[in-house]
Amino acid sequence: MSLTFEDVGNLARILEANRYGYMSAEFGDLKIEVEREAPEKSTAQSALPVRPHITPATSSDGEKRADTQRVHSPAAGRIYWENGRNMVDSLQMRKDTVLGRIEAASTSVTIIAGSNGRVTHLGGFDDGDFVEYGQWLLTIQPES
Amino acid sequence: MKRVLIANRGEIALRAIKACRKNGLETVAVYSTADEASPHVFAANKAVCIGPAAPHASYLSQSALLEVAAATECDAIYPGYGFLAENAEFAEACERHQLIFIGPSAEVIRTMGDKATARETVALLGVPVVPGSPGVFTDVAEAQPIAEQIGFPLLIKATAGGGGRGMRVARNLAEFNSLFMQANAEAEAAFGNGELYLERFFDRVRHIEIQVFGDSFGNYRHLWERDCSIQRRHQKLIEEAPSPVLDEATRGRMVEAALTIVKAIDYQNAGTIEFIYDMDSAEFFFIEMNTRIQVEHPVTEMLTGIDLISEQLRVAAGLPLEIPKFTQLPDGCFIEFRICAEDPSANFAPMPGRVQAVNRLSGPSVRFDTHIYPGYEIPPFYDSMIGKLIVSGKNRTEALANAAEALQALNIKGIPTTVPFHLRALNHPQFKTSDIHTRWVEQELMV
Repeated sequence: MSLTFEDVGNLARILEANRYGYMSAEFGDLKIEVEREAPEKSTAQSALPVRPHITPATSSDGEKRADTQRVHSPAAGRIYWENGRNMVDSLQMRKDTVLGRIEAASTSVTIIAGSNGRVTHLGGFDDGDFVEYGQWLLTIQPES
Repeated sequence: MKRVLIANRGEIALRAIKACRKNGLETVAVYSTADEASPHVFAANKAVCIGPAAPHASYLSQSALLEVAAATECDAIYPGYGFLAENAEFAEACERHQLIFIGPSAEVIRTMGDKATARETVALLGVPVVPGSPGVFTDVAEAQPIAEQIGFPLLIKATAGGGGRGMRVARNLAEFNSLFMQANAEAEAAFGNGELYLERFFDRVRHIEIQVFGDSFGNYRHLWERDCSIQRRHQKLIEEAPSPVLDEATRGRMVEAALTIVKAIDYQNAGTIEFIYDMDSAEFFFIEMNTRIQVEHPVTEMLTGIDLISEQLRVAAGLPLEIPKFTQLPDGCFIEFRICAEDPSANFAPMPGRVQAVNRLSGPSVRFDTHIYPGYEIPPFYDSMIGKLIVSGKNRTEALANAAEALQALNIKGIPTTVPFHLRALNHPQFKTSDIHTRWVEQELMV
């Protein structure tokens, strides 16, 4: 079985229209997994008009993929990583490690690792980038 | 002013986006996770998720709003009504962040937002305020001579009160002492503060408010009145312009009183001066000023032909008002019905849920401001108002006939709404003759 360009477009549209960041479909021996990329590096800096709605990634897909843990932005604001942008793939961390913080006006919200594990995917946010509430920041593979 | 952050949701967010577009302004919408599918998210040039459903973590989060405004390079914030619209601290914070708050100054919001200060300010201008005690009391012996001066019936109110607690109506001096002590004990128990003040009580009053505007060029305008006497538990349900009970002379005095206030405080942007009107004595008294746009502004827009939101944007941008000096009341009658996702037969309990279909009349005599659509899920976290049906007629009789037709045709499937309540009010003989007052719904209609 093969997919046409139109099939891929339809799949992308289905993913775009729902709130989840990850989708898996099986057609016979063909398995398709689609994962939403990190949003534009800084939505705030893009010129207007732009696509008006950026759906925040949710943890719903985490239920489907119990082996990974997605960390989402706990607030809208500017992100500052604890160790600059040294949050690289395969970085090992302990539960409750402070990963960074979101600053908005005079408030600051801390981003904390929920478990021991290893970073497997990183969103494209640099220090000082604006993030929306609920945007996917990184994915952790918990220690088994 | 080039780009405006719309710090609100629902129909007023959509209304503001429409006005911004008309005036060549870009918009940035903000939304909570509960409002991901709300139309204002898609109507704006850009939308940013600011938090979870709870209002304090999203639409009331000043830090998130200010950060989004900075990050999206907005130069102004439109607050609408509710949420942060009358929050002086937020207006000040906007100023600190070099953002235009589309409303009056923080100082004016603070002055007129404090009921006691507003009352003192207005009384000094010679505008009548509800006769009341100059101070507060905990001792009935001290309160009694003041009560006699004010006269009966008298309202005894807790200064820290709300929801009717610590509130009593004394019809005569004989019952004053015991009711005062009851209210004092109730206020102490409920709020930890037993202080009471006294106010003259009116049995049959109407709520009449004057729409006002001011700009930075010293122009002050009125846009006539709205009669908002159909209320339930102090919540307005139906609003009408012009008031069917005001004569020309009283209307003139009320408008003059409103203009005196806005000139004295150098008011800029949209505001409403609220009065109670005692039908028996034909006296009116200032009750409060709302330093924002009102839910019911469309009836004034239809009466005067002025786009009030556009005028708010003009004033905020430092431009002069384009509102004429009205001397002659425009023709016609305009009535607004608030459509809420509530069940009138279950004591107006909010009924969030999925809207299956929306059928309604359209035409020159009907306007429906709403944010709902078939498939829209009404979230349980916010105000239950889902739309405003505004009808017009050459006169009140025609407006009432058009209202009946429009309400019967308005079919929102999937959830209970207040439409049956409005039809019931509309068919009541006292509503038809406008023989109503602010407690009419509780005393007559819902009995």
